[in-house]
Amino acid sequence: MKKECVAMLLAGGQGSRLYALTRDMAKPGMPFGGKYRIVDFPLSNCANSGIDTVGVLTQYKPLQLNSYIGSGAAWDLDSIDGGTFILPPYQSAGESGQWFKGTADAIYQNIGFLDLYDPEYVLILSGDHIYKMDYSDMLAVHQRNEADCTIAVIQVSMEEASRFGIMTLDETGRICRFTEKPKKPDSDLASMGIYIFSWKKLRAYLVADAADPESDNDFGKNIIPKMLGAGERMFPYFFQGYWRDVGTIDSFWDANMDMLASDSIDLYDPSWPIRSSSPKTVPQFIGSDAAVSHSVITEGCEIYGKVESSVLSSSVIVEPGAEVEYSILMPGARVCSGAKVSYAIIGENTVIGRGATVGGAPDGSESWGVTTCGPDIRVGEGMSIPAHAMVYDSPEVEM
Amino acid sequence: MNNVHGIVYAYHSFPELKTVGAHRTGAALPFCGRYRLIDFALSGMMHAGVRNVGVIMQRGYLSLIEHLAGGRCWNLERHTGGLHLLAPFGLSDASKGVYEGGIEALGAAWSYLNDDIREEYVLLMRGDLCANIDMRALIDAHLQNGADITAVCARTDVPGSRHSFVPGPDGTASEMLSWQNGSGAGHPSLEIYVLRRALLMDMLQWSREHNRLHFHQDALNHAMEQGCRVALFEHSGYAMLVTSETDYFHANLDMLDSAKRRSLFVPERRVLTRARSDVATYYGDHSCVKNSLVADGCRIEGKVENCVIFRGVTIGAGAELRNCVILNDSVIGANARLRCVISDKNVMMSPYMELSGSERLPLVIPKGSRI
Repeated sequence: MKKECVAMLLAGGQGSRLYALTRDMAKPGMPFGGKYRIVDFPLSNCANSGIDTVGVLTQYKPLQLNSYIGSGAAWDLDSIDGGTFILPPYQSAGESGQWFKGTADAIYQNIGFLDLYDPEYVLILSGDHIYKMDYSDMLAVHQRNEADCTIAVIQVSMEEASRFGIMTLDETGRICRFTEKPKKPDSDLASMGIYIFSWKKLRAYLVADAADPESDNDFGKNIIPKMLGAGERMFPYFFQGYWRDVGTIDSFWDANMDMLASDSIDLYDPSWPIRSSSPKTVPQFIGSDAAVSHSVITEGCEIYGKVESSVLSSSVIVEPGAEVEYSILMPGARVCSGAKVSYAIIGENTVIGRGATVGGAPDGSESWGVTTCGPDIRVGEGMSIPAHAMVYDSPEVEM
Repeated sequence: MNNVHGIVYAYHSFPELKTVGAHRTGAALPFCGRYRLIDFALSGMMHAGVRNVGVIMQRGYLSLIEHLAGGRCWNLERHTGGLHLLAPFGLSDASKGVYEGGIEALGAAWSYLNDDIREEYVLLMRGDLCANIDMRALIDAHLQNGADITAVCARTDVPGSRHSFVPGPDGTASEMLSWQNGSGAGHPSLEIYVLRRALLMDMLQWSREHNRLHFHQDALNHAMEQGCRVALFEHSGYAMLVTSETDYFHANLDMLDSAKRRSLFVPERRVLTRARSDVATYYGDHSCVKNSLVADGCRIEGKVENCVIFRGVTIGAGAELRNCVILNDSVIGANARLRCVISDKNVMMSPYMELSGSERLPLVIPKGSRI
């Protein structure tokens, strides 16, 4: 089945900088913005861009993500000639099988999948960004440039630049240098981790890279520098608009809070729907004594207490007399009577016991930070979890 | 998987539904923020393992067909069986009016019932019933009680019910009563029946020969006179057959009562409905929402009390809504004041609009109005 473009979504990352939140779940499966999981954004972008064949490369704790994605029907990605394919590492005859060593190795190990579709182009996506992008426009630019590789770039501030892969362009607009997380960046054009390659070209580089024992088998560290070194035609695709990496606790919290701002990402645009596989629950119920303001809340929630400037995923319960402010509550979390949650991220199905306090408002100190409670935790009655704490397991004793 | 074939009547649109029933049948009435009434029938059958369901429709079924599509949401999109949309064939009956009664509706699906159904039993019910019935227990009861027909009834008054059964000493119905207005004696029928398909075909055959159109007054009455034993299966949760505008209004507002809501939305028998992509609902800085159900995709800036707000609704700043049911994608302008209003889908209401109905007679704004 010949395809013009197949997308490969790298969803195997652990997301180790999200600590407790991703201990039992791959980062792309993380609930986001009340209604979504992070992976909804690249999957919806694919569907909206007319890409109907998506390989999802999983490795780290994939069970929830696999069951969430299912057949891809929620994103209309279950078409007859294409579809959504979960691609875990696998064994071949006579081999012991191995984990994906790096991002490029994940694609290398699935060359067989891509060969089934024999695409002209391969779109490489990552599962940790919040954005809306028309990949078909990026593909058109790639074709116009007769490029071998096109990298989506976004302008960042010079201070931030050292966190990203940074590109330098020559006078013709071609990429002439790419540096992963440079100490002293010489450009503010950051890679968004979204690549389009001409498949024949990439395939050859993947095969060569796999044979190189020195290589980390990573796109940013190995494949792209090797292609640049060989003088391949590499171009930027300039992206403007909302784009956030949600790989850290702070950036994850910030991006969720952006859902409350009207000037961040427009999710009401019917021409570019971000779809999700919604849980099947009743509408949200707001009780007689509830006070809700400046917040987003999702179906299945029951709110009897106070919720301010917060983002609540489905089936969250805020009991009478409980208070939630500047916090992110994941599906099924419960805040019991008299408890107070501020500046915190509360994992799925975690219960904050009666009268407990979790997190606190910024006090200007260096050590302040957002408090995080992982999933399935029980914070006991009256307990106090300080600002910037990270809770992995139900605390046994009073803190 | 079981040996029961579901039949849902979705052709009714009672005149008392007035404006909300003008463009849709009772089964397609939007309910509780995100559902349509037929979701209860289809979800209930799904949980009972019924894998073949025929939906009898006659006219005004556009919104129903859009909602049902292939039946995927209720696990009814199957290679074998699944959902069967039984619209009129438009041959001999094309010029006739609305089906007079259940028998006429079933008669229109005669060849389907006679030739296409392989299951031994059929489960008949109305699509405008608002109740979460444990149909697995119902089917099990029928298989064990040895009766010819098992009927579901309630102990308390069921709005919209027009028939009731008087229980006899052995637990089967000794008598069926029918009334036109208000409730009477006996246990109100929810108009759900489980019986052998062969018996149903006999009842249809007799009705055809005697030119009878009604299920209860004619076919069931006759069958009972002939000694047919009707066992009663009691449903104790919330139930309403939604047949009037006022009942529709109250059924929605009833869902603000948590006991009633929990009786309909039972975790082990989830009510499934067609998915729609909506963002989470945003509550503005000055919004004030009390005792209300709100679906996803809304933006609420105003005051909302005792309301059911469906998906994609916008309520402007300073607006005040009390005891209202606002259907999908309506826009209520800033500083509008609404009391006891049902706003049908896609209504655009200007700022400062003041509208009010009453508990007994809600004011209904037709679909797509610009006011």
